[in-house]
Amino acid sequence: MAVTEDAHTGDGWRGALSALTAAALALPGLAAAEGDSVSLDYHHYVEGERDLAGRTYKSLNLDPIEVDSLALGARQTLFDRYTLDLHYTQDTWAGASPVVSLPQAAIAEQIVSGASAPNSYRADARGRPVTVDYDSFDGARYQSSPDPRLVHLMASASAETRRQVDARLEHAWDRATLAAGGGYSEEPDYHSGFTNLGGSFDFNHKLTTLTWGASYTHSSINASLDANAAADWGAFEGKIRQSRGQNTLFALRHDVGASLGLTQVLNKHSLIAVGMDYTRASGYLGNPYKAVILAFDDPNQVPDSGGLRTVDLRGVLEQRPGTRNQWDWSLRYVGYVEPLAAALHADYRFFHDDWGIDAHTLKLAWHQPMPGGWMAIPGVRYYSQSRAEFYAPFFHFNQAYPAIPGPIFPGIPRALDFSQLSLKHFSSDARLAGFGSLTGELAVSRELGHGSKLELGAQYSVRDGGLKLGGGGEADFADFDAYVLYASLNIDLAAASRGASSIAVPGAEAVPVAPRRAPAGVTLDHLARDGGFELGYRYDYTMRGGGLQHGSRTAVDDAEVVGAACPGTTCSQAPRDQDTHVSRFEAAYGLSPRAAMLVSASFVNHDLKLRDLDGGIDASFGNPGAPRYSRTRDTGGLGDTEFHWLYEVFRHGTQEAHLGLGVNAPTGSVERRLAASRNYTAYSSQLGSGTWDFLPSFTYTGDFEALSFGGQLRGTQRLESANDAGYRLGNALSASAWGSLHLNPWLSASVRGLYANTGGVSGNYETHATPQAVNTTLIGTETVAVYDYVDAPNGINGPMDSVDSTGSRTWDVGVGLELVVPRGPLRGNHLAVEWLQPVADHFDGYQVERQGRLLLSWDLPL
Amino acid sequence: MSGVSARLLAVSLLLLGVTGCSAVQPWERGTLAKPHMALTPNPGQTAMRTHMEVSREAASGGNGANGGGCGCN
Repeated sequence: MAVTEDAHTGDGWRGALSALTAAALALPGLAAAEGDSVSLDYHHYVEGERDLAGRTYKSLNLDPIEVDSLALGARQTLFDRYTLDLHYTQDTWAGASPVVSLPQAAIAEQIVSGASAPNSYRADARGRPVTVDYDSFDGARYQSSPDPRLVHLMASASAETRRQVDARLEHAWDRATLAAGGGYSEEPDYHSGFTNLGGSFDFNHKLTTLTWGASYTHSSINASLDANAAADWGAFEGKIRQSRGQNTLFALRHDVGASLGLTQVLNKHSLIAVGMDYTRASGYLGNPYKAVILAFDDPNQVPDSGGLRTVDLRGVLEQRPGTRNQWDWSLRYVGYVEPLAAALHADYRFFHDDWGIDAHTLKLAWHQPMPGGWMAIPGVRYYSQSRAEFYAPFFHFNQAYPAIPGPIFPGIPRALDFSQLSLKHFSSDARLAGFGSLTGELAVSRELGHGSKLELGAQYSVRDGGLKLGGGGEADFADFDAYVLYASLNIDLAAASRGASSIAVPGAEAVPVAPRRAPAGVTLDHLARDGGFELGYRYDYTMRGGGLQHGSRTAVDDAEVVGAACPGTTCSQAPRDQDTHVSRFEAAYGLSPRAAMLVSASFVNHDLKLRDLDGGIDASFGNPGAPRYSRTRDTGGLGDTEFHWLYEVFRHGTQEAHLGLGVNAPTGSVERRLAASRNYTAYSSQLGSGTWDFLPSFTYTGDFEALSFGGQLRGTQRLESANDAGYRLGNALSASAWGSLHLNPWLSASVRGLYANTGGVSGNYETHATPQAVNTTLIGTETVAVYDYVDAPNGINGPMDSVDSTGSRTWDVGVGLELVVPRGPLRGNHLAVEWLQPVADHFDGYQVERQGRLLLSWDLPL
Repeated sequence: MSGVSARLLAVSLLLLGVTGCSAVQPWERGTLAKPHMALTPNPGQTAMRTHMEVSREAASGGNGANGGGCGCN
């Protein structure tokens, strides 16, 4: 790919010649996949609020779906003809999604009856749902009016993070390739492993390429049905077992796929590709978080004085067929528009399956090169699908409620006799409805030099039943809009290492003499070269677990925590495992021989797993104002962004010292809340500080023969008294000293000592409207609590919710390896790894023990 | 395979046939090798986007085995 880029920027005849060679060698249409490279992609998806028949998300304690995704990829030539592709992807989902849909009239009826879930609606003589005005009794009957509206019932799931790793090894011959790959995707409720095999064959003087592929995916599902607790389990009775105190659905799924494609160069300026794909899925193909509403309208029922009948409702887990055969055909065209040097991409796909779904996708994109190395990429996408045969927003039966005979308990729905139902498969998942969607998008990309390219883009889409091709789409209750913001960075390693070769010393046999570096966990250890760019990636994985610690004392009794760790209440839960993953992306620039600046953006994941304390009381039981009693509190997304200016204050021989002045910009959210609640999650699970902070640093480094050494002091001073959520993180100070021994010109081993003093949180989460029992009322013979929204302090379930259990003084010893790649496409890159082992900790309050910290760093001078 | 799909395949192949393919010599392929002429100019971004589409729409074929997880929300 490097050579083709030379031609793109018009780098003389040599570049043009290389481009031609590359073009002759390249598979048509696959130029972007050539060459050793690394890539980084960030994707932020946010859905708009759905129409909940006039009720707002806020009044129902809901947040719309939000997804933060991060992907890292690397492509590396191993030997002459082998190429390895490695990918890591993670996405964190948070927010509310629909569980069932039903007539709005059933919600109105539920509010009147005070039932915990909608269990009936009133229908007129024609079977239409009606809303009854219970204030309009005229002595004989109530006024009522037909209400055809449908509405979703929403549920918030705890935020969850999915992680996937995959790899693919390809061997290339002159006219063919063969590749084998596999990977694993993991999230709390869904694990899948997959493997694939594929290849290509060129013929017709490489104007035609035939591609083929085969794949197999095995998935296992273990989904907690807590959010669906009220639904009948139907056919899944035998697949549901207790796991960690929750009803959990265990199931398997298999997907087998095959694909065939043909790419054809049409002429000097265009190519076309056709593809066919078949996938057979079998096993559990449903969505464990979706239920359906079955409505039973008994034809023998005697209407009331107003002529109205009662239609009984029952929620049931959705049931889809056990197999699905899917076919997909695609036709893609890429054409060069000579006068504008632009490329038109036109794709059409047709999808068909044996569930009755036909879908059409049309996508157009225009890639327009602009002056200064920029590219503008506007595009549009239209998608339309017909509904699955077994989809309906709810299912209406003209029969009495088919209950299994047995005792009747008030308030508990009777079990359904499924043999009396005319339907075997049913789903109200709006993804199986008929609808259309229209997306507009705009991206800009720019070559940053040395083979790196940045692309920034935005997409906005509208999903609408009315946009379905041929009409007949789902009603507008299922409509929503969504937007995506993304950033994508690709670095061509071959081109980048040409840039780095300027630090090589002639005669040193391709071993660059690089500035020596500190251990992986030390940032701001050096200044970028004057006028030079550097890119860096740092991964920081902190592991905590094993038990609670109070001060320096470990093995704390649960009974002590229950009584002492939750101010104003008793604790019911405590952290079991608390892992933090931080990915930092740094760009540094040398302003002068003695000054440099650095920008560092981060992507953060906190995986917090809770356990029940012995002797703790579940405060959420029957109390919607308490934090929801969930054992998972994962969060993830964009973290804070740091800006640093570094000034050299001292240099003598190999000794150097510099002062750093930094600012933390609060780009990370501090308002992550618990599922289905306005209560905030743990203080330590928020993604940023929420405040502008001052970050001073002082670093000293030196060399003596085969030894390098250094020390660093860093501070964090909060510049605001409180963040948007009402609190302020503590100030912090850390000191670190290290020594490293150079084992050879490109490898060194290091030892480091680290002390960190982090102050506790001041202030508290702000109060927020929380439903609380304010009164009681009599419904029938039963006394029922009346709830209202009251401003109340944030709920506390365990020490993780208390500011008294923040703040620490910790000592660590680290061991590490630092490597400067001596040759190959990664030449001049710095790679380092470090393990930090906790030696002594003193925690304020009750915090979970620290187990260790893994740090990786990769620095690429451009 | 249904009638609709068979017809679609036939039309695709026919389209390839009638468009005709002039012999493009290796030294005439500079334009085709430009990065923005690639069938998938930004594969990383395309993969992420596909994952979101699969979790929001029913037509999930055409992507081979790429894992992808539940996307159940």
